[in-house]
Amino acid sequence: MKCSARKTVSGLLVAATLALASLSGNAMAEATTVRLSHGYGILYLPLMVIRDQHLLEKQAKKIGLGEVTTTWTILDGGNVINDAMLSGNLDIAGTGAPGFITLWSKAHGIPRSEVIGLGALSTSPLWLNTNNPNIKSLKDFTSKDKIAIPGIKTSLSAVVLQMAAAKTFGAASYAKLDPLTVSLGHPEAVGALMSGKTEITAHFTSPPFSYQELKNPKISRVMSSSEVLGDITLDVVFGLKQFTDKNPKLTQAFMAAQEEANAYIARDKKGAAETFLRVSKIKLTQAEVETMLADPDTLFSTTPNGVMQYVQFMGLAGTIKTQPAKWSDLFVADFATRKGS
Amino acid sequence: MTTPTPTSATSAASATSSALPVFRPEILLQPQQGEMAQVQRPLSTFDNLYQKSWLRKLVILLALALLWEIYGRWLDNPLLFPSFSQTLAAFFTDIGNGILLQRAAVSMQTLLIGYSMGIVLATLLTTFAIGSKIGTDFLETLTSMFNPLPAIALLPLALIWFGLGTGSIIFVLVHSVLWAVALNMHSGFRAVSQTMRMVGQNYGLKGFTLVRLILIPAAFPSILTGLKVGWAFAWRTLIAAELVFGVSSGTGGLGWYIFENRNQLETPNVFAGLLFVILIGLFVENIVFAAIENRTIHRWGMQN
Repeated sequence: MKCSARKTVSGLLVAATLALASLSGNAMAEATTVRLSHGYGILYLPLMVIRDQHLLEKQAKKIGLGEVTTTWTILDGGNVINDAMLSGNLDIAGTGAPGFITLWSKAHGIPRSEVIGLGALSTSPLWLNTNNPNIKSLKDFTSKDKIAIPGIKTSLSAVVLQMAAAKTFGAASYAKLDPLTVSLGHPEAVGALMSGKTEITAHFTSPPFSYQELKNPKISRVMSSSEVLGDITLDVVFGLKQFTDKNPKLTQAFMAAQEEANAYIARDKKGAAETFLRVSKIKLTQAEVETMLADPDTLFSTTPNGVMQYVQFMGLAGTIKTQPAKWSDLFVADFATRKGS
Repeated sequence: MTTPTPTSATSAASATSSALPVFRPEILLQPQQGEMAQVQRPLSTFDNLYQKSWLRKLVILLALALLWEIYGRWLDNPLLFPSFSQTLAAFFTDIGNGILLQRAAVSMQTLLIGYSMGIVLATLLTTFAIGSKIGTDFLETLTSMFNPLPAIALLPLALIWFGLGTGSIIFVLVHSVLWAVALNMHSGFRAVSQTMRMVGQNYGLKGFTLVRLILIPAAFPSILTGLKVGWAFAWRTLIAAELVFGVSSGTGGLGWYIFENRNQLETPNVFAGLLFVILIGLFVENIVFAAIENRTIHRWGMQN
């Protein structure tokens, strides 16, 4: 509902219902439908588990919200998710931490568009794979090469690539590789890189795509993000601040559902791998997915780790102007007591 | 009779007046010499200003800008709808640091390459078509087939054939220009009177020389229309191609500028980019083409 006139009308309606509710002495009813989105890769596994096992519906019932319906869409690439959030077509989404930080910073001080994190989602090494045998390190890229990432400038891959470039070429040349980047969804980029017939010569991606590509003998790995940044949180879950303000119990239910999903993944690798294959419909074998989940650098935790690294970097790069004072400012109040970074 | 009726009253009056002879003074009415109607009155300042079309348009523009500003401030959400002043600020910032001009230069360069290629191809095609019946049929068939096909629809194909980058964009540009120009050129050629053509042939002109010396000047109004339509198509196609398939930042035109800023949630810059696209469009329509018209068809008295 992009129409702001409609927003005003709905705002008035909300105000009216608020007044009515306060008159009749009833508490505000929380939303009964939640619209969520997740992306393609293994980084989104907890959300896939929530979707697959209807954990949000379950937790909402438990907390006393009654029947809640969920609708899921698949969105990948920070910019698409940001558009959907801003236009009010999404309530809760999993996205790359940089995209979320960009939106948080831009929307800061605009009440209708402010966003807030509901927690970290996952971390896993991002690999930069190439089908060009001449490329051994970031320094070997020429203007003829094209690096596929899910969204330019703000997507997770884009910012991590900039951070890696800053480490390789010096802080001032963080954008050196940007002119080579091409906006392409992960599945399409895998196809392009494997075929070798397009101009795409590299792809910066998360598991399972990175694993899929390396199965091809022509493709080699140039770099892994964990070498550059360590086990920094890559993906987070976030929503509009007005949604979490209006639906505190639903927010709690979602966070509980995410904890439950993470516990399930830790407990049952086999089941988690099956879930991933079922929801993502990616053509891999059960064993391959289990291998990925067994990677010590692949972690699913709701407590963020290292988001301030992005904030500092993006602040220096000038991508964001408003910076959070501490990491917990980015997230809902529950996180103030947690030990994150 | 209970009430006195008008008839009884008049009969009474006639009874009294019948005693005296009727005398009515003559009435002489002089035709009034009214003031001379004004033939010419100096216009008031307001009327004087209202006559000027550019001023009227300027007022409309200012009113729109004011509305935009008020609405933008009322909404107070620069992410979704920046106000006019924010847009202008972004515009001048990026004009100042040369980013916008640089992007526009890239776009213009691509556009001119595609546009001129399209015109050359259209000229060749039409020259070939005007010579024979089969040529005419060929051109008409091709044009009716390809003219309705949106250039952007060809982009996926172009990407496969020419890769990511200027090659593909030039391909779709040529497509968008070629048919519009060829169509207008051809109809213009066919409208040239037989007399002129025969005069040319009498002088021994044939083929391309005939086209160049007789047909093109004679059909210039419709050729110019074709060029204008072609330009508008090309400009839209270019921006759309850079935007939709913002696949390679290497091309870096204005459409890419818009796409990039959208991704970085710099909405004022997106508006500034759109504003610049409009300005360039207006400039070419009203300055460049107007100058060509003044030098050619207006001067030759083909069009008033």
